[in-house]
Order: sequence, then C-alpha cells, then structure tokens
Amino acid sequence: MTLEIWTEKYRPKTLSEVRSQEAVVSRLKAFVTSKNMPHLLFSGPAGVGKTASAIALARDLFGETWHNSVLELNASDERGIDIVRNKIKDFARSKAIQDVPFKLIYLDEADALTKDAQHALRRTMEDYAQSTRFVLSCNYSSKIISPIQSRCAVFRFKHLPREIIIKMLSEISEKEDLQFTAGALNLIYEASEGDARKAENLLQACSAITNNIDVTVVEQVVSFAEPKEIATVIEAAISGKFLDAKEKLFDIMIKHGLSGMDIIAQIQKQIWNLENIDEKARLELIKACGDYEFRLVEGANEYIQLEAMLAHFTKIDGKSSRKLLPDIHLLHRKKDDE
Amino acid sequence: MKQWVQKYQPKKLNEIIGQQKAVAEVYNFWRNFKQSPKKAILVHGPPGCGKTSLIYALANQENLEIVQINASNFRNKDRVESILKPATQQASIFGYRKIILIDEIDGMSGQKDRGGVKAVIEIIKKTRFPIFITANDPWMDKLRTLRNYCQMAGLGKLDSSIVFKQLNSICEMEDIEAEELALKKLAVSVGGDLRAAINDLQSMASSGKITNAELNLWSRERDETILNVLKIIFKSFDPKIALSVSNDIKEDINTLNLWLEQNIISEYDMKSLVSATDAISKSDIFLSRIHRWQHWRFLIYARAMSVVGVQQAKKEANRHAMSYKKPGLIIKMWQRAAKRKKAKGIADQLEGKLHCSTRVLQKDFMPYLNFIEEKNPEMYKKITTSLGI
Repeated sequence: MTLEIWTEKYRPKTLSEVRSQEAVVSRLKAFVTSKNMPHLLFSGPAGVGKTASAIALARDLFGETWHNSVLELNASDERGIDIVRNKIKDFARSKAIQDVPFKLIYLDEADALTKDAQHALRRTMEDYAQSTRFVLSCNYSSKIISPIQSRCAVFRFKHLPREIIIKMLSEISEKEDLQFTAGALNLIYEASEGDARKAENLLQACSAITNNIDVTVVEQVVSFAEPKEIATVIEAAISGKFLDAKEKLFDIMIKHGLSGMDIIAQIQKQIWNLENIDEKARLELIKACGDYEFRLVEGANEYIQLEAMLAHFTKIDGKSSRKLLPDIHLLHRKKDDE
Repeated sequence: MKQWVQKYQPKKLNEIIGQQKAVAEVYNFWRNFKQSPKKAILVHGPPGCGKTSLIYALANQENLEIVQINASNFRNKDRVESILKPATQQASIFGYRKIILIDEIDGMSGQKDRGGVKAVIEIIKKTRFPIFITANDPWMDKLRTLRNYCQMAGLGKLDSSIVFKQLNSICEMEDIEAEELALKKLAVSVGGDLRAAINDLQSMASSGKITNAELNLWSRERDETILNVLKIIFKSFDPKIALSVSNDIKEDINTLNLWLEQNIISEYDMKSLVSATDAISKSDIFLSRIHRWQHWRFLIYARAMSVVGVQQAKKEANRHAMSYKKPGLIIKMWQRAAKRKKAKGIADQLEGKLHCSTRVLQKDFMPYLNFIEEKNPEMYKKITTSLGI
C-alpha cells in the first residue's frame, strides 16, 4: 500500500483542468490545436500553475507518452550553463517521432541563471529552434534578459484567488475522505500565501494527524513547518537578553533541523514583521543581518556566526526616542492644512 | 613586556637545574661530534622540562649559530629539504660553528607531513653539523626509523621543589611579593612543566602580588589545558602569554572557538561579549579562508582574532573562579546538521519526481514531510515507498 503526494496526485492532467489562469490557458489550447507554438516564457509567483500548465500542455500535445518528448530541467539545480547545454544538445539530437513537429524543453526557475548564462542559453535556443520549443519559467520576467524575452511569447500567471485555493482544498478533502471546517481551509490559504503547492502539502500534513481538520490541527502543522518563534528570538536579543535569545534560537534550529542559512532567511523575514520597533533600529537589524549572512557564507562554522549576530543585535536599541518625531511632524502638518 | 620564559632562559649549561644527566649527554654529543657515528641527538622529555632551553644554553655558552626548524613550520619533504640542505652543506657565513635544531618533531602529523621524517633522516645522513631534535614522545611509531640514526638524551619531569626554587628566584629578581605557600602550590600544580609555571607566574604578577587566593583562580589542570587557555584568555591581559599558551594545546582553533563561545557568557558583560563574539566570528572566517585558498598563514590571523581578540574585548576581568563547560550544545547542533544533510539527500532523490527544484522541495515540501514522519510514521513509510526513496 502506498500513498501518493497530493501535489502530484491532483496535478491537472489537461489544460482544461488548470485552475484560474483562463487567459493563459485559452492561448495555450490554441497552440495544441494548431500543433505549433513559439518559445514560451511563463512568469508568476510560486505555486500558481506554471509547471502544471507546462505539463498539461505537453500532455495535450503529445498524449500519454509525453515524457519522451519533453525534457524537464531546473536551472537552480543544474551546475552551470554548460551542463544545461549538454543536456539540451543530447535531447535535441533525436527527431520528434510524433505528429507534432517539435520537442519541448521546460526550463524551470530560469531566473536563477546569471546574465551570461542566459546569453549562452539564448544561443542554444537559436541553435535548436528547428526541432525544439522552449518553455522557460520564472518568478519575475524582469530577471530574464530582453533578447530572450523578445524570442518568447510571455505569459503572466496571476495570483490564485482565495476562493480558488479553498475550492481546490475542499475538492481534495472530499476525495480523501477528510472532514474540515471553513476556518481551517481559510487558515491554510493564509499560511500558504496563495501558493497551491504549499497549500496541498499543508493539507496532506494535516491528514497525518486526523481526518477531522480544524484550525488547531492546521496551526500545529504551520508552527512546525514555519517557526514563528523566530520573532521572539530577535525581540529577546534587542532587549539585551542574549542568553535567552541564543537558547531559543538553537532550540528552534534543533527542533526544525534548520541550517544557518535557513535561520538567517527567516530572521530577515521576521525583522520586517516586528511590531513596536523604531524604524531606524529595524534598518540596523537588516544591515546586521546582511553583514552576518555574508559572514555565514564566508565562514566555516555557522553557529559561531549566528551567535555573533545575536550579540550584535543586543547593541541595537529597539525603542529609541526617534519614534516620536514623525507623529509630531504629522501634527504640525495638520495644523498647516487647516 | 618581555616574556619571562625568555627572559629567564638559562644562558649557560650550568644554569640548568635538575637535568644533569641529559646536560652531560648533550654536551658530550656536541664535543665528540666528529668521532660520533650518529650525527643527531634526540632530546626528549615532557613539555616545559627544558629541552629547547638546554640546546639554546649550549649554543649560547659555546657561541654556536643555531639553524632552527620548527617541525610545525614545515609541512612536506620539499620544504624540509629546501631549508635544511643549504644548512647541512654550507659553512656558516659567520665562520663559526653551527648546529641544527629541529624542534618538536613529533608535532609533524602523519598525513600532512608525509615524507617529513624521511627527509630528516636523509639530512642526518649527509650533515656536516650536529643535529639536535626535540620531541615530547620519542617512542611514537612514526619516529621508529629515526631513532636508529639518533643518540638519545632524556630529560625527566622537573621536581616541584626545583620549580619552586626557580619561581622564587624570579620573584626576587622581579621584585614581586609572593606568599611562599602560593608559589609552592603553583609549583606542584604544573606537574613538572616549568614553562607553564613561569607563564602562570607572569600572568598572576600582572595583577600585583601573588597570594594563595589568587592562585586558586589560576591553578592549572594539566590534563585539560584548554581550560587553562580559556582562563588566561578570559582573565588576563597580556596577549603574548595568551598566544603562547594557546599554541600549546592540542585542540585546534575551531574547537577553541567553540569553547570560547560556550563560556563567554559567564565571564564577560554584554559589551565585552559583543566585541568578543565579533572577534570569534572573524576568526572563523579566516579558518574557512584557509581551506578555500589553501593559504595556511591565515591561521595566524584566525588565532590572533580568537585569542587576543577575545582577550582584549574586556575592560575588566571577572575575578571569580569559573568552571568552564564543554561546548556540548554546539556539538549536538553539528549532529543535527548531519541529519539535515540526510534530509537534503531525500530532497535530491526527489528531484524530477515532483517537478520542482531541490530548493523549493527544501522550503515547501520537506518541512511537511518531516511533520508526517514525526506524527504518523506509517503514513510516512507509505509516502516514501510511493516516491521510491
């Protein structure tokens, strides 16, 4: 007895099943009908259906044997553009066997490539333009050099609206025999920040505890997966409780098995969310965070670097008197307006 | 300020106390070098008993030029030869007699200094000058062949009464008020290591007079020298002493950093702690650069940042004796890190199966899979089987 990962199990099988992205889908369907298409550039946030659309497109084009005609690559996993090019070369060498006159290369996270690598990629795209079509995917199309953009039809994927994600979750829940409360699904949506992949993973993790999913169950998973205690670490540090902050931080790292880089990314994220803090101090924290991220990359022992960062945080005065000033300014301006 | 271990180093052989037998052996080896079948002498004994001092005293007394090679200074055969060869074959530029000193030969480690001992033997075969080699433990396996080419001269552990006499006379010369009991206790606590005793004495003297109470703060635990190094870094102010003792421990700088990090909170106030952790952080960066650039000289800066950087971070030393803790938590963290690498391994295996990058898997999938593993192992098993991992 095995259990599939839901992100795969409920992945759209055809373009018609792709949720929400109507504008994109209708144009892609036209490519399927005409069995011809330009290079494509998919841009949009994580978990809104870029990869799903690409796979559904491939399935619609090539049928169930789509695997043979598609090369899936991930720019952030490949070591260097040369390896990408070699893989493309090997793949493009053989001719398409189906009635579709081209093969498909899906390059995910193309914005992870450097500018130079992108220029190399552009040449590769031209070299194999006869036999292949590229589908590039990225979060921000601005990170893709314009020569590539101009060779591609650009498709912008929108954020998935709350109703769509909740509908998706409730459909999955029904198929998996899960009971749920509306609040629970809402919370999953909030926690996943509109990322369908994350939402599905979160729901599946919930199902590991119980079939009756309510808010507390979701909270349990969320707090496990995304340590919110990080904020308390920063707060302890800037109020001078170094030992406290240090112990909390290492507790979190041990509990969640996070690397120094994971932690520093979380800390940086949390700094923006800190409440009741002077803005100048917030900037100081960000600066220190950046400095120590650099040291972490340069250094040998991440724990030593993190501890030094916490010590540095204790120097930052979170509640300086400067906070009052903007309010006074506002008061004056009001008077002037009157 | 000059280090007392240097200032009070014996200038003549007869100033060396308690090692008459070894003194005679070394002197005779040098006198009869021309007739001797063995061209090197292995002077051995525990740390701080006077091996190197003995050879310096000989050189000073007989007006010899010393060509010194510290075993930890050379790392391979090529360098040994480039340093030693000219010295063994040329006459001294000053025209007077020359001896060669290879200090701490047992400090050459097996892997990195491969060929080092062999090179030394080659040099012994060809040398025109007497070679003096020092070692703490001459009976190590890697020195087995070398022993065949050397005379042996063993120095014993110094008796605490001799150490006491030395300390006492230094106190007189430095005009330091010292309780006799304190000096005696210090002499006993060092376990025959005169160098350690003199270093301790100098550290204590910097705070004024030497009393029994002061001594409790400083008492050495011979088996755990890292504790002593921590104490000197945290409580004293003389960088030379701190650097010198930090050189004598078997732990590397990375380990020392972990110890410092673990115990700093109990010794320093917040302000000192901030600049001390900053120094450790910089030391750590140098350690990493050593590996990246294969440039060993960075070690000097790493050590300086750890030892002196932390030492100078404080305004005042904490006057209370501390018992230092092992860096246990951090070691646990390392184990955790190893487990995390395993998790990275799972993410790698999943590459291509879930149509996203390992980065995304790490971020948006592994935490949930870990949750399932913890809460519902049966379900975890089913999932991993279906994923083929």
